[in-house]
Amino acid sequence: MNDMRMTERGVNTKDIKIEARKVQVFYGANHAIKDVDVDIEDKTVTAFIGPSGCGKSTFLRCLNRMNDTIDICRVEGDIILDGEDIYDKRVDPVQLRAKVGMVFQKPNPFPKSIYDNVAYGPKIHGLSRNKAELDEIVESSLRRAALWNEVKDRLDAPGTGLSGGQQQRLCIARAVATSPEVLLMDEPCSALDPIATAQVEELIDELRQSYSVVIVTHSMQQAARVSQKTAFFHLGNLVEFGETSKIFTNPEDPRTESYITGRIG
Amino acid sequence: MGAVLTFPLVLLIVTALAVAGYILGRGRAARIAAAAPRTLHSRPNQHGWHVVFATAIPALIFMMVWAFGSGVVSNIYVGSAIPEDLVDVQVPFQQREGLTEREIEIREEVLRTQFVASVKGLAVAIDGYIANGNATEADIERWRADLAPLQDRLRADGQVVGASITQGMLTVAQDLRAFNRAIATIGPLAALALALIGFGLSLRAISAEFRARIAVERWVLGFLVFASTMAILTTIAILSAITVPSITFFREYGLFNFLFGMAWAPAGDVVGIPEGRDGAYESVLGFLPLIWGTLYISLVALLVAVPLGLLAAVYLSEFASKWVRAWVKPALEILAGVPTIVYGIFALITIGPFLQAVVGATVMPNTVSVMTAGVVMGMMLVPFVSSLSDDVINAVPQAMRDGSLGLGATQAETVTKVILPAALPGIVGAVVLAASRAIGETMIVVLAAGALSNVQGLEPNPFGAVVTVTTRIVAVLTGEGSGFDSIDVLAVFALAFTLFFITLGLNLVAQRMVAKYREQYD
Ligand SMILES: Nc1ncnc2c1ncn2[C@@H]1O[C@H](COP(=O)(O)OP(=O)(O)OP(=O)(O)O)[C@@H](O)[C@H]1O
Ligand SMILES: [Mg+2]
Repeated sequence: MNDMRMTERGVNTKDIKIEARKVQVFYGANHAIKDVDVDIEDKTVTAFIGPSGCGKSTFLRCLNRMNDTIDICRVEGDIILDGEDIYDKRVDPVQLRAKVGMVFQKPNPFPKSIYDNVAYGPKIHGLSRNKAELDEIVESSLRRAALWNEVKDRLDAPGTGLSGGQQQRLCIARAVATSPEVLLMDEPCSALDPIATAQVEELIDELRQSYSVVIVTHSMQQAARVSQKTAFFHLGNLVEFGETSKIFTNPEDPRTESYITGRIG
Repeated sequence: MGAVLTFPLVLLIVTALAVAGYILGRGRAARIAAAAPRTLHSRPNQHGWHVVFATAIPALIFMMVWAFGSGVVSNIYVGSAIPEDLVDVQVPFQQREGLTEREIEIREEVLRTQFVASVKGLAVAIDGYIANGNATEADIERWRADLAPLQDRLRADGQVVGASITQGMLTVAQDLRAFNRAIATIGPLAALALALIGFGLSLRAISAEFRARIAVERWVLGFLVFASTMAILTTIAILSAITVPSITFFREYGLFNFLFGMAWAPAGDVVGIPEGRDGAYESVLGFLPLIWGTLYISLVALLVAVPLGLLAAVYLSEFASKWVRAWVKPALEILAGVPTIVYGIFALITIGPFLQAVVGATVMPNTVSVMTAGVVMGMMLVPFVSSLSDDVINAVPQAMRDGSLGLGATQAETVTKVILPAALPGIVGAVVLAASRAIGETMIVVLAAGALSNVQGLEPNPFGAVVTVTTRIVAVLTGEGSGFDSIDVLAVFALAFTLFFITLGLNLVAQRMVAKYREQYD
C-alpha cells in the first residue's frame, strides 16, 4: 500500500509500519526521550536495547499511547502509523491499542481465570462468533505462548495463581489473542527459563510472517537471534539504529560498541 | 477519708522511678562496658530500657487490671453481702398467693437486681456526701436511727438517691463502702511494690552477659499483646453488661415470645393494654415488628446509597479529572461528617412533607415513614459507601488498568470487566459495613420513621410509619412513663443484645470479604 515510499527508498524491501520523528517524552521536568527518529518496518522484528533506565519502555509505550495513562507524561513529535499520526486528536487510542498490542515489562494478569484472561481481548473486540471459536482462539494463543501444556487442565484456575514465568507467557497469549498488527513486547522473556525462552522466540519469528514486532531485551544474544533491526538507546537518545547484523558486528558509534561488548551497563 | 496513696500518685512515682531507672541502668552498663570493652551483650541504652520496662509495665498493667476488676469484684461482693432473709429481697407474703415456685424465684431475682442497683447508688451518694465535706463516717452511723432525714440530706447535697432508703440498704451499702475502701488502699500499694521490685531486680540483673536487648523485645511484645487484649476485653465487657439483663429477660418473658412476637406495646407507655397474668407484666414485647422496621428502612437506605455511592466512587477514581477529584472528594467527606441529627431534621421537615405531597395523604398519612427515614439515611450513607469503595477501587493496581487498556479496551470496559470484578469483594465489604451502620442508626429514625408506642404486626406500606429497634430503645430508656426497673427496660437490653449480634454478624461477613479481597494481589 505504501508503494510511493517504497520507490523513494529503494533500499527498503518492506513497508514502513510506524514512523517516529523527533519524539520527545517528558515526565514532569525529566526529559526521558530526546529527539528519537525510528522506522518500524512491517513484517520485521525490531529490537530495542540499552542500559537500564535509558527510556526503552518509555518509547515503546509511546507507540500505542499507553503513556496517556500517566498524568505527568507529555509526548511531543510525530508518530505515524500506516500514514496517520497516532497523536492526532481524531485518533481513538482505543482503536489504536487494538491494532498495536502490548506485553508489559511486569506480568499483569487480571484476577480472573486463565481462560478469561486470554478471552478478554477477543470478547471485547467481538473476534469470535460462538463459544467454540472462542475456545479455539484461547487454545491457539496459549499454544503459541508455549503455555498450553502447563495449563490445559486448569483453565478455570486464577491467572494470578501462576508462577512468574507462566504469568509472563499468559500475558503474551493474552496479547496475541487479539491479533494485533503490531506487537510491542517489553522484556517478554525476563522471567523465562531457556526452553520457554526458545519457544517465545519461535513465536516471535512466527508472528513476523504477518505482523511487525518490537521487542525490548537486555539479552544481546536474544536481540541478535530474533531481530532484523536493532535500536540502541542511551540516556534517552537513540544512538544507533540499523540492521541487527551490522549493529552487532560493525557498530558505528563507540557507545554502541562498548555496550554490546559489556562496557556500558 | 480516702486512701493516702492513690493511683495518680503511684503513676507519678512510677514515672519518676522509670526515668531514674533508665539513667541508672544505662550508667551501670556503660561502666561495665568501659571496664571491659566489647564484652557487653547489649548496648547500655538497651539495659536502660530494660529497667524502664521492668519498672513500669507490670505496675501499669496491674493498675489497669485492678481498676477494671475492682468494679466487677465489688459487684460480686454486694451480691454475696445481701443476707438471705433480708425483707427487701423477699416477695411479700400476701403477694405469694397463686404464684408457682418458679415465678417466686424470678420475682426474687428481679428484686435482688433492683436492690443491688439501689445499694450501689446509695454507696456512691454517701461517698459523694462525705467527700463534699458535709459529714463524717460517724455522722452517717448516728443518722442510721432515722433514715428519712438522711435521705433528704443526701438529696439536698445534689446526690442521686433512687428508691427510698431502708435499713437493709444502708447496712449493705456501708459494707460495700468498707470493701471498696480496702480495695482502693491495697491496689496502689501493690502497684508501687511491683514497681519497686521490678526496679530493684532489673538494676541488679545488669551484667556483661545479661541479654537486655532480647528482654526489651519481650517486654514490647508483651505490651502489644496486652494492648490488643484490652480491645477485646472492652467488647467482652460491653457484651457482659447487656447479656445478664438480657438473659433475665429471656427467662422471664420467654425467648420464643420475644423473638417471634408480632406486637410491641410496653405497658410503660401504653394505656389500655389488657393486663397480663396477674398485673405484674402487661407489656407485649415482640421483636419482629421492630426488626422489620429496622430492616425495611435499611433496605431502602441501601437501595439509595449503594448505587449512588458506587457510581460516585467509580466516577471519582476512574473518570474525574484531577481538579474535580480534588474538590468533590473532600466535599463528600464533609457530607460524611454531618451529624445524623441534622439529617434527621432534614428528613422531618423537608423530605417527609415532600414525599407526602408527591404520593398523597391516602398512601402516606404521616410525614414520617419508611421512605422518609430510608431515603435520608441513604443520603447519609452515600459518602460512606463511596469513600470505602473509592479506596478499594484505587487499591486495584494500575497494571490492571494498563493491561486492559493495552488490549484495546475502553475505559468503561476496563471499569466494568476488570476493575469492579477485582474490587468486588472489597465493595461488598463496604456495603455490608454500610448495612450495619444503617441497622444501628438511631437519630434519623427517631425523628423520621415514626414513634408508635403500640405496634401490631408488620407494616408493608413503604410510606407507612414503622418503629425500629433503636427508636424503641430510646423511647423506653428516655422513660415515657416506664420505671427503670420494669420488664420493659429488661426488654431493651434484649433488643440491644440482639442488635449487637446482628451487626456483629454483618461485620464479620464484611471482614471476611475484605480479607479475601486482599489476598488477590499478594
Ligand atoms: N511513570 C514514570 N514516572 C516518572 N518517571 C518515569 C516513569 N517511568 C519511567 N520514568 C523515567 O524515565 C526514564 C526511562 O525509564 P524507562 O522505564 O523507559 O527505562 P527502561 O529503558 O525501560 O529501563 P529498564 O531496562 O530498567 O526497564 C527513567 O529515568 C525513569 O526514571
Ligand atoms: Mg523498561
